[in-house]
Amino acid sequence: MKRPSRSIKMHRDMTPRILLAVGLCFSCLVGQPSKLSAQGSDPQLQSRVKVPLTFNRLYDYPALTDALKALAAGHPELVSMRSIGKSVEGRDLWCLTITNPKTGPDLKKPAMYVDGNIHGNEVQAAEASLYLAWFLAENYGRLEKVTQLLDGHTFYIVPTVNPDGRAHWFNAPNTTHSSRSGKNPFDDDRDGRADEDGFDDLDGDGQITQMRRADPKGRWKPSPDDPLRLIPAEPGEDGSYELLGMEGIDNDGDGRINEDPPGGYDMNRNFPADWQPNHLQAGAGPFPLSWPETLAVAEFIRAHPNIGGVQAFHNNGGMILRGPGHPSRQDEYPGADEQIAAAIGTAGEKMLPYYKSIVIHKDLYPVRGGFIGWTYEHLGIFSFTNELYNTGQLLGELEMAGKPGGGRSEKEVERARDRLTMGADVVPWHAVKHPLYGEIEVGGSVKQSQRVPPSFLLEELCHRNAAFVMYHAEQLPAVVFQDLLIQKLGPETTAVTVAIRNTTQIPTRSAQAAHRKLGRADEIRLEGPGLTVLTSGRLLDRYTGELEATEGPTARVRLEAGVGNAPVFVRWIVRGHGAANISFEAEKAMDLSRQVVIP
Amino acid sequence: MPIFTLAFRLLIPFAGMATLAVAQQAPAPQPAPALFPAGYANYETSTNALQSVQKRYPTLVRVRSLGKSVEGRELWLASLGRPDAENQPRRPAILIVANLEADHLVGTQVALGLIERLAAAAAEPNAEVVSFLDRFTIHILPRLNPDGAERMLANRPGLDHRLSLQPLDRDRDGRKSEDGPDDLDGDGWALTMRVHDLKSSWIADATDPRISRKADGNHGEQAQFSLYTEGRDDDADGAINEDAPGGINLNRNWPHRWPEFDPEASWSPGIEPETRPLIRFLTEHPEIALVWTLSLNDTLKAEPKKPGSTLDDADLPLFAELSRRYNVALTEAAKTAPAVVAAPGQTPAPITPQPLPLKPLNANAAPADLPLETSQDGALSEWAYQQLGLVSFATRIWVGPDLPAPVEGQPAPPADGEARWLFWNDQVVGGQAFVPFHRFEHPTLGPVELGGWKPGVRVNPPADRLPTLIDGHFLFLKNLAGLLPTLELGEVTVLNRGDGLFEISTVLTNPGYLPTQLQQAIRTGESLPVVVKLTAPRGLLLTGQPVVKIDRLPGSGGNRSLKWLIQAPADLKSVDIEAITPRAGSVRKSVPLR
Repeated sequence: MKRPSRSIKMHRDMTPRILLAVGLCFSCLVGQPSKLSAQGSDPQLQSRVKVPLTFNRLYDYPALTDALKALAAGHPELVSMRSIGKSVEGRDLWCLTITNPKTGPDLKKPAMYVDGNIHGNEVQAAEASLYLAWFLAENYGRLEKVTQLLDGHTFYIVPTVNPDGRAHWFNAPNTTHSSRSGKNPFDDDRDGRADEDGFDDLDGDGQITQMRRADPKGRWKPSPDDPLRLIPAEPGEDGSYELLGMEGIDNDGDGRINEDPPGGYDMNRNFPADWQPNHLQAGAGPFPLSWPETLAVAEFIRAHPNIGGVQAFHNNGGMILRGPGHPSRQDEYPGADEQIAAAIGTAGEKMLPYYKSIVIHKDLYPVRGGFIGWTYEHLGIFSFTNELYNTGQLLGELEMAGKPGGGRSEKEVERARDRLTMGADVVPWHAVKHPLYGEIEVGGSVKQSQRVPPSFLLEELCHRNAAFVMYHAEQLPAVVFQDLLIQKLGPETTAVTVAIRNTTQIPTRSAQAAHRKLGRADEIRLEGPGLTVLTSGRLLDRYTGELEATEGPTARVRLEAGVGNAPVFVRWIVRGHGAANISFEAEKAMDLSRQVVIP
Repeated sequence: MPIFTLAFRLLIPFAGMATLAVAQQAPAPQPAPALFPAGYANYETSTNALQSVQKRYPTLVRVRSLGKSVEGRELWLASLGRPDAENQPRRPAILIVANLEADHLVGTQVALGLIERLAAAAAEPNAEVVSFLDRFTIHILPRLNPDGAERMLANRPGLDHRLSLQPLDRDRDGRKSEDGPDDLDGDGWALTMRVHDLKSSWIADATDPRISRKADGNHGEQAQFSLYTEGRDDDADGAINEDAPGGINLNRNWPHRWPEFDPEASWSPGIEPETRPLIRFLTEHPEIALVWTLSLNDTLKAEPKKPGSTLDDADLPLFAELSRRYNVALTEAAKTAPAVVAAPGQTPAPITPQPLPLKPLNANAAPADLPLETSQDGALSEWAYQQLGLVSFATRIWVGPDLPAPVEGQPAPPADGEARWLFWNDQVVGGQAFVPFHRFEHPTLGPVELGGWKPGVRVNPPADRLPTLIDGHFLFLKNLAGLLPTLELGEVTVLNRGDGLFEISTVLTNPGYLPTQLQQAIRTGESLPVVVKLTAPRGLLLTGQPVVKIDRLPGSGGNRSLKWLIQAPADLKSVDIEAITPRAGSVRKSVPLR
């Protein structure tokens, strides 16, 4: 990490003040649940808030747990809370189920699954998830759209999939990039011991920053633009510093520093679709779903076949990501689905300034065994990963040059940020003593910077991303009967024809689900006590009457391809008379039924 | 079918040698040997066998359960070691896993046999086995699929079963396992059902109508029937046997080339109650140096060769040598095998291949016989090699029928395929293995023919063949002790260079046959290197690293020179050199400084 320098020297006893400043300005780290206060500029909302939560702060694991409990306790008619499993270190993976149970149990409604923070350091993913839950619960009965969402849908929300990584990020000294892994010991340097040489907080300020040593022949020098930053000395020119890596010592005496930190794997490479071992996909873990956290999530999703949409929150870069994660998986992404996913992503771009809707392997980097690759490829669920926060948002005017955050130099971004954050993002260079290097200086970015927005942007980030999830949820299938035709073929026999169609963007079965025969096919039935089905099936051609007859014949007609915007016609030829019921069932749509009378 | 061809070449000459004398005298008729499953251990018997071995050799053998099957049976693992299997340092280990496939019960028998023989020989004490168990821990899991095995052995109704008992919904109708094979005629077996069918492609072979084969339209042959497993449409959905009980093929549930989207491979590798504890055991025991599955796939009987073999070029010759030694061990054991003698039964009158009445069907036809050739995709042995870089192989144990030596003047037995098996049925096992086809009035299909091979008889040999097979595999297992890698530190030279400076040098050698790391292990990086440490308290290392990592020491004396220059304070009298790699063990020397 290339970081600026600043000529101010800092003493060790100044560090608490720095932390205090960070805490006061940006409420970044900790807050007591008792301090929760009503929030929002809308006075009407403010007066009606049942569970006051604030979103200009981060919640450590205990505070997050309390906030979730408060939400469930404050909205018992909408929100229930459960643990779907435990982490390596024994923390609960909390899940909120949000729906109006009076309109039907959660499992009978199309559902969105939302999680965050599978990478422990990507902390604000949990706040975004919490915000979504809070916004839905608070606005039920107040905003018509939210009311409809919870009457007709279910939201399953797991704010942190990696509570150990989160706890370690909050409680231990870290960089903004560290504590990504879960906390199962891992032998990074392959010496037979695990986690024996991580960072060391030399100055005790709770931050892991850079180490440098003054050296008249060093190859680094302060930037003339910004003395906090070090830039390479010109060829032939003497610099003034040498860089020594991130704060740490050689804990295990093997001659190397920080080479085996806690954990060392990536839970978002541990899912079964296109899982590849470590030498092909770094961080994969020993085998798919090897970690208690990933297994718990996978088992939860499999136990809820009503889930039709998945949203995973990460940071950072400002991206709405969709699969495939690797070019070799292109065949698992039928065009019909890609068209729908791209349309939802594009709609998201409109709600999320500075975000780009892109494909993981084409526009970011290859990912094998990723979470949303599995939910789409193996379960047929439309799935997105949002990379929360783009440093461009701090300035508002950054030119987007294809790459998120691109367009302007990092230096310009950082200098402008310094003006807005008043230096809270940076620990100035200051002297410490190192057991191997002797007198050195440490300094650089704090862990709450770069990937995490300053507090005044956090609430906006939460809301815009929640809006995207709600939009995605609105696109989950909603099937209606369109036409019903009853034709007498004679005194005893009748042809009953019904047309059903989906009114939203996402069909009851994705093309991938239909192609790979994932989950149960949709089923439509005609049943009546006085009826015998002579033949039945989907009408291939409504004009000629060509029928794809079922085996049997049976009252049940299976619709492997599901129901999309184009109407699906089903016909039964029956003998008999009287009342009958036409019912439609799909895993990812509400059941539908209609009474008919066969004359 | 290369395996069968090879089996024929290998097994017959040995059997022939043994029976030569008998053959010349024209043997008196013998009672037919008891056919599978007679003499095979069910869950209770195998559990008792393990517990009694542990009781008899309490320090040598430790039996524990790795977990529970879908139906709650224990997955027993026996660990053998000396002097005490319970409290051992982590020395290199061998893992043998049997009965991944329910119908492969011969694997369990051999695994149990290996445990008993190892323990008995160590207690004897047999010097070879004592030294083996002094160096290695041997873990043997005789039955990974106790539920499927139990179903296979229960025999009511007897049906072929390869999978675990994890309920599946194959026809995706919301109900699980609701339409499996049925014993229609009440003879105790669910066998093969021939149904005349518009979409048929099978024909009864003219020379032996018991043989079903594909009709050859190019020669004017008209197909006669479809093949089903005996059964009816239990759930009235128009399809027969489309959602049979079970399950997962536990040898297709491993991460390398895992067949995603195949329901029988499960929804994730290593996810089943039976496979998860084992994959965890493997990844948590880096000292396991070798994985051997006793399973339907076989990678050792036939010499591995390119392009068929998926082994790295550098590893291929090593496995070819293992294959050679495996066959030598089997040959050696076969020398004392009991002779295979003819015990012809009543040769059944073949039913005339007259056409069955036509019955149009659209249902998916289930294969009548389980295929004997099996894929390596998702197999445990493949994963252990491809990802973990372990020495890993699979052996089927019994690869074909044991036939008597040809009697002079009599026609030689058929060389291959169904006819050869039928010859064995008719001439060796008294016609017990094959139920002749007979007409039956099916509840919905009308007249059909029922008959075919009894379950498991072509995978599991008659019990009288088992001792020889155990002998051969025990011999090969003992062979492995001399082949596995090990570490040896040569003489350590200390040169006093004055001013407290000492130059220390030595050579680290692997006198075993196999390298400390296969090439594949280096590629995947999942095997720890040989870590050499010089421990010199307060000494200052002037050259060399305190920790040297060596990726690989080749076998047959592969070595690496090591040299350090240290500056030692006057009171430092010695330093320690230690080399360790979990799969080959460790070695340590204290070096005096003078």
